[in-house]
Amino acid sequence: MKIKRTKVSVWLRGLLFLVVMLFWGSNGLPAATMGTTIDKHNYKEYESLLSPAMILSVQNGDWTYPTGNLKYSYKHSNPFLRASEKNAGKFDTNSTGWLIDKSTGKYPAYNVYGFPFPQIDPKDPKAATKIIWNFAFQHYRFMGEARENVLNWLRKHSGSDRVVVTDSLLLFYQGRPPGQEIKNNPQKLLMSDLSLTKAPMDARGSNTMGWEYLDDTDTTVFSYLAPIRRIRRNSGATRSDPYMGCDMWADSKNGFAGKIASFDWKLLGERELLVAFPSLEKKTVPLAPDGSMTFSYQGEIKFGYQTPGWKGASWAYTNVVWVPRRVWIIEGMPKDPYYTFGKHIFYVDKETYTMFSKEVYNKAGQMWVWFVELQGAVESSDESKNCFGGFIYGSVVDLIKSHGTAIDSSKATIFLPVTSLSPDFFTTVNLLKLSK
Amino acid sequence: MRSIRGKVSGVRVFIIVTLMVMFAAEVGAEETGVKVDFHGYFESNVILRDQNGFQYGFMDHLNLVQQRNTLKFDIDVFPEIHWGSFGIEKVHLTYRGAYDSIFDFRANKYSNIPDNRGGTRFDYGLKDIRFENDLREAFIDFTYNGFFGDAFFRPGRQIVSWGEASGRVLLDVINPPDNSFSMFFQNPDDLKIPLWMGRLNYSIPPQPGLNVNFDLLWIPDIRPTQFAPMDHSMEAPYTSILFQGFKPFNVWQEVPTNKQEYGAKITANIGDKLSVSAVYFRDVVSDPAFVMKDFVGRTPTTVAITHPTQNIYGGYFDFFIQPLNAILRGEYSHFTNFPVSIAVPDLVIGPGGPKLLMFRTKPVDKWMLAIDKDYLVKWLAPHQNSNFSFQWIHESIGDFDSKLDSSKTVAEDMDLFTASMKLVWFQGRVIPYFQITYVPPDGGTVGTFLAMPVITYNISPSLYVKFTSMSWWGDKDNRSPYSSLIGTSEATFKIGYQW
Repeated sequence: MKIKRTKVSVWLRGLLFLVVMLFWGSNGLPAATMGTTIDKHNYKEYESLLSPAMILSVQNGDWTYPTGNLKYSYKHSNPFLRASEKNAGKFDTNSTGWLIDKSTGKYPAYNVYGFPFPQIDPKDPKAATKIIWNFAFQHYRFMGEARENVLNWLRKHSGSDRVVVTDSLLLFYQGRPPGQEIKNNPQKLLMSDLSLTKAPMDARGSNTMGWEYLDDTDTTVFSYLAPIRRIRRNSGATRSDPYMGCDMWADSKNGFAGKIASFDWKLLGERELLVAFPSLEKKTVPLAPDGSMTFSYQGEIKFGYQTPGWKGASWAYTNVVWVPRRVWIIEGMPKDPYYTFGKHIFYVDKETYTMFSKEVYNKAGQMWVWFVELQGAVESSDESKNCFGGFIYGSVVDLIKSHGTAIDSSKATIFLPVTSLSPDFFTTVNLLKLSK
Repeated sequence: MRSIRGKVSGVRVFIIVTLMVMFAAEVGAEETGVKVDFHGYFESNVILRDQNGFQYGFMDHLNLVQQRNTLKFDIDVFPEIHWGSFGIEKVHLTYRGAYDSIFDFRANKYSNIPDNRGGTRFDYGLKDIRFENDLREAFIDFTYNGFFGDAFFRPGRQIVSWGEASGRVLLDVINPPDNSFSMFFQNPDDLKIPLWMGRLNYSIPPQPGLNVNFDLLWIPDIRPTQFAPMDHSMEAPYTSILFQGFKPFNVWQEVPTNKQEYGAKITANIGDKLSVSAVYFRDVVSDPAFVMKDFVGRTPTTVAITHPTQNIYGGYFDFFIQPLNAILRGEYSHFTNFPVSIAVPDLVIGPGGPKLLMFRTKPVDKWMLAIDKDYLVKWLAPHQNSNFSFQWIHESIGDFDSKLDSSKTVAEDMDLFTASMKLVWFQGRVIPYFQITYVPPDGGTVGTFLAMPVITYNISPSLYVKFTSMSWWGDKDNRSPYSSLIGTSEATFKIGYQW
C-alpha cells in the first residue's frame, strides 16, 4: 500500500512540474529567470528572445536587459476592441497598399474606429500591410496630441553633444472615437502636424507644419525660418533626411510615420521578443473635463549618459524593464529609389499592434539603425482610455557610426477633442502666429 | 567719471531688471500655471577687416574693427486667456544689449567721434555704437478662432518680412536695416530694426484646395536705414567704408517721422503645391536720398539724408515642382519713386534756399526667380541631403536718363546671381554654409563677386563658435552698387553660449 501511494505522488509531482514548465516555457522565460538581467555574460541563454540588434548591442556591453513580466493587462480599451470586432471583414488593401472599403473599393470616406483588420491571417499575402494599418489606427485613436520633445545627440561614452527641445502637435482626421469625428475635411487630409522649436536659441522659432493627404500626394510642408521671419515651402518628399543632423528622420517618428503605401510590406513571421516598458506597473491618471489625458514620465526614465557609473552606451535605457511579448516581424522596403535607407524590420505587438522596435538596413544590406521605442503605460481612472501604443521615449542608434539620439517625448496630452485641437490650428496663419 | 558711473549704474540696473524678469517669469509660471519660455544667448565676436580686400593680398592690411559682446534673450508668456472665440495667446519680448569694447581698446583711433552728435535720434554718436540697450520686440497676440476663420492682431514693436528674395530688397521693405555695426549680408534677424506697428492677420476658413490669408500693417514708427556716426571724422568702422566723401559736411538725418506707412498682402495657398501673394505698401524709403544744402557762399555745408515716399506694388509665389523635388520661388516689385544716386547733383532753388539733390526718383522694377533643392552629394555630406539654392534678381530703372548714365554705381539694368549651399556634418555639430553672389560686368572687365563662407561648430549643447568671412572681389570700375566694397573684406570670429 505504501509503495503504491509513493508511486502516485511521484507521478503527480512530475505532471505538476511539466505543467509549470509548459506555462512558463510558453512565455519563453523560465520562472527562475524572471527578474534576471541579461548582459554580455549570459545573453547566449536568451538569444531566442533577442532581436539581431539587441544581440549586437548586448554582446558589445552597450546595453543590458533587466527582465520581468507585466503586472497588468497590456491591451487596448474595451470600447476600442469592440469597435475593432465590428470592422471584421469590411476592409481590404489595394494593390498600392491603401486601405479600402470592400464595398466601394476606395479609401473609406467616413471615420473608422478600431483596428480595420481585427483578425490577421498569416497566410494572407497582404497580412503585413494590414498589420501596419492596424498599427496606424491604434495611434489614430489618440485623436489629437500635444507633446514636449527633448532630443539629445549622443556619442557612445560621452554626454550630450546637442539638445533640441520642441513642442509637437498632431491631429488625426481618421480613426477617431464615435462622436469625435471631424466632419469638415475639405483638403482631404489624413493627418496634420506642427513642430515648434523651443531651444536652443539658434534654432528657436524655426517651426514646421505638415499636411498629409488621404492619397499618394506628397505631404505639404511649410517651414517658418526665424532668421528671415518667413514661411517657406519645403519638399515633403525628403522623408528619410535626418532631422537637424540627428539619427532620426521624418518617417521614423512614433516608429513609422510615413505613408503606408510608400513602402512594400512583407510578413516574415512572428516570435517572442523582449520589449522595453517603463515599469511592470501601469500609471493611472484622471481624465480632464474635455476627455483628454495628460501624463509625464519626465525624469523617471534614464539613459546611459544620465546614469552615474554606467559603463554601457550613453543612449541605452538604464532603468526600464524588458518584458516578453509575442510580435509580428514585418519587413518594409521603401518604394522611393532615393530613400536613404533600404530594408526596415519592424517588431509589432500581436495583440495591441504597438511598434516596439525596428532595425533599418542600408542599401548594401548592412544593419544601420536600431530604433528602440518605450511605450507609455498610463490608463484613465475609469479604464475607458489608455496610452498603450503611444511612444514616450526613443533610443535611435546608428550602429555603423556608433552614434545615438535619445528622445524624451514623455510629457504629453492625448485624446484632445476637436474643441481643443481643431483643423484650424494647422494653418499658415497659425504657424506665423506661433513663430517669432 | 560721471559717464563711467552712469555706465556702471546702467549695467547694474540692467542686471537687476533681467534677474527680476527671470524670477518673475519662473514664479509666475509656477503659481499660475502660465507657460513661460525664456531663451537667449551671450555672444562675443571679433571682426578683422582687410583694409585693401582679400583680392589685393589675403589678410595683409588688417584692422581690428569690432569686439562686440551681445546678450539677447526672448521671453514668451502664454497666458491662455480666452473669451469664446477670442483670446490673448502670447506676450513676446526680445531684448538685446551689447557693448563694443573696440571703442575703449582703441580709444585713440576713435577719439574724434563725438559721444553725442545732437541732431535727431537717428544721428548716432559714439555712445550709440559703443553700447546697445534695446527692448527690440514687444508685442501681444490677440487672437480670434471661430466660424469666420482665424486671425491675430499683433500691436507692438516687431519685425515683419514679406517676399521671397534674399540679399536685395524687393518687397521686404517693412523693417529698415541697422548698418551701424554690421555689413549687409549678416543674419537678417539681427540686422533689421523692429518697428512699432499694428499688424492684423486674417485667414478665411479653409476651402477645398484653397486657403486665403490677409496681412495688414499700419506703421506710425518711421525709421531710416541706420548708419554709424557720420561725423566729420567718418572714423566709425561702418561709416568709413562708405561715406568718406562726406567728411567736410555736417551730415544729418531728415526723417519724415510725421508720416505713416501702411500695407496689405493677400496670400492664397492653392492646392498642395502653390502659394501666391499680392502686395501693396505705402513706403517711406529707408535708403538715403542725399541733399546738399545750407550754402555758405557757393559751398553747401550740410548733407541731409532724406527719405521720399513711394508706393510699392508686387507679388511673389512659391511652387513645389514634384518631378524635380524642388521649390521654385519668384518675386516682383514695382517702386514708383525710388531715389537713384546721380554723379552730378541737380540744383534746386526753393523756399529754403538752393539745394543740390544727389538723386533722382525713378520707377524701379525688380524681378527674382529662385530654385531650392535638397540633394545628396556624398563627397560633401554622405549621410544627409545638402540644401542648394540658386537665385537670379534683375533690377531695371525706368525713365533712365543721361545723368544716371554717368554714374559709376548705377546701371539701367542690373542682374545679380546668388548661389548658396548648406551642409550638415557630424550629426549637426558642424554646419558649413557657403554663398557666392555675382553681379556681371557693366562698364568693367569682370563682374563683382561676394564670397561668404560661414562655419558653425557646436562644441556642446550650449557652447558654439562661428567663423564668417565676407569678401568682395572683382573690378572696381564695374557699374554695380557693390564695386566700392571691393577693397573691404572681413572675417568674424564668434563664440557664444545659448540656453
